Amino acid sequence: MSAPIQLKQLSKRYGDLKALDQVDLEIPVGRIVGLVGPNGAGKTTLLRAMTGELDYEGQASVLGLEPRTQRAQLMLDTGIIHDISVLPSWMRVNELLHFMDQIHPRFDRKKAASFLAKTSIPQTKRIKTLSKGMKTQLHLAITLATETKLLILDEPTHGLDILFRKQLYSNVLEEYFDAEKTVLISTHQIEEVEHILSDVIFIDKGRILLHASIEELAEKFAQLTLPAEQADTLRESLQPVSEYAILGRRVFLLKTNDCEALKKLGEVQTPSVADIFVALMGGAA
Amino acid sequence: MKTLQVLLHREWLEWRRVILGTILIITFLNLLMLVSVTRGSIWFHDKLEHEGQITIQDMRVNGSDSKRIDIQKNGQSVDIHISGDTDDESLDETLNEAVMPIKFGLQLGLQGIFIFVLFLSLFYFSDAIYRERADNSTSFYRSLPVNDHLLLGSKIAAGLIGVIGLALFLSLDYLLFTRLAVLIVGEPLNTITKVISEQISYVALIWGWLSYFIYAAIRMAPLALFLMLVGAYVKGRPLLLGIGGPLLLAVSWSIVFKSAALFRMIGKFFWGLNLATVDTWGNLQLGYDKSGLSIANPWGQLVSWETLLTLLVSALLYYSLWKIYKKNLPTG
Repeated sequence: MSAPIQLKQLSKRYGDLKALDQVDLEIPVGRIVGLVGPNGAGKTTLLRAMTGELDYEGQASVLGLEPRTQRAQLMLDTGIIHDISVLPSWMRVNELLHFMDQIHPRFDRKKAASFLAKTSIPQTKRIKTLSKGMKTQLHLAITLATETKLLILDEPTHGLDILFRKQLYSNVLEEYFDAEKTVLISTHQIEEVEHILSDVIFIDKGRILLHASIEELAEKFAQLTLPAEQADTLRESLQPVSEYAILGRRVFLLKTNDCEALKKLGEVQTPSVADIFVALMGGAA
Repeated sequence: MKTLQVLLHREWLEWRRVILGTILIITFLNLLMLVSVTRGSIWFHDKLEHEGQITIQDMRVNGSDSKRIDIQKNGQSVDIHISGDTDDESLDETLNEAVMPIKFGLQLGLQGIFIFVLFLSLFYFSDAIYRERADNSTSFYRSLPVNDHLLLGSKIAAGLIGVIGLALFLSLDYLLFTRLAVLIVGEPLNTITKVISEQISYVALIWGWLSYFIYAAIRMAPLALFLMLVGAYVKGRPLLLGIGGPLLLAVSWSIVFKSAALFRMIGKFFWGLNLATVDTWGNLQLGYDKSGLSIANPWGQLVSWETLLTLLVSALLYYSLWKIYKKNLPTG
């Protein structure tokens, strides 16, 4: 099966600003991919381009369709949750369910109702009267109740409490994901999602800095903790990507394939995705 | 087709309170008019009787050389024979003159309704896209398997159906109450009632509506699309900018170039509903003069260079609207 997401030389400009700069990307089916980058890195622009929400230069194929010209067809198999509430505020919850039932051929109203039954969302209330968490729950319910092949979550937990954030991702795993589907999660809070990801993409200033599976990351990067004096002597030869001090010791983040050799120098650990992200962004240098 | 129906239903859900509220307010005003007319009629009778004046119970024209008028005084018949001017036409003219104020009242009422609906339509078209942008729901609608043309088309269609349909419904509502009022005061004015009844044909009014609908929709399209375009672009106050902007430009143009050309152009293309409603009234008046209160054939008026130009302007405005709508610009 060909990759559901294939981007070639994808670019997007806003005046002088390059929001996307010749992005090449291929995401295979059955993956949960984290799109990680700081604010303004181009995450939302990339997702909007992929879903045909905005024009772009270059080539894009999502689920075998060209997003710009085949957006409506693409949306038949794609679910999206945005970083802000986008549901029509004037609608009542039950009107929204009825509307979805009528307009989306893949929407399962009973399934949505069963999701909502687990929440405290009143069906007769207008959406504008719901809390931010309720609005996200409602959007998640209608998205998960729609049979799609691709799910795009654009900072879906923005502004939500920790309990709900954890609940959201476990719902995605339990209720949606299987080997035939692809999930793309955009976030700048990588520690929240790294436990469910199969791949990560680091993006900054519109360019893809890294695209790798979690296993590849563990093979490519290592974290070495060693005494400060030893660190000073080894710094030149090891060339750490980043380093920081902790309790009088130094922690090096290294790009290496030879963990066995490092073990002779000090304590070796697998770095977290967040550590690698921070290191690559230059935040901990 | 089903998708369009669902989207139109969505528009109904969003705007039904405005539509139902308008109908209720106009019906209430009509009811007030009815009560006022009824009371006035009773007061007129009571006063005349109290003062011992002659009450005209009935007035009939026999169509003969001499005219007989049955008059009662305090309930007892008094025969009075009037001779002199016995010209039939003269009497008909007199009756028609008596009907004129009522015709004028009808005209004023219907014009008022049309202007009111025009005012509402300005709100709808300027807000149709702007409200979506303000609550970010454009992103939601564009995440559905529906193409942009259906999304925009449903809004344009809902506006045109809503505005024209509302104008029709309120006109019928008004005419109904007017007829009731005429019937209630008809006791001393039976002849006038008869004349009006003959001149109002509800069936003809509804029958002519379909063709008029297409005519009015074409005439309204530039104004509707322009306001939607403004609503899709500006960061705030779409109505103020959509109406005030072109007017300010036209005023500046007329001062600088000493020419009212821009005013005329705006009037031609962006005052479509007004033209349509004024034309409607023209048609209604034609109906008066002919067989009944009905709409004359608008097909003849449709086939013109003006219509072609209107369609071209509309197409250009629609293309711009689509381009800007896709950008989904944030509001202020």
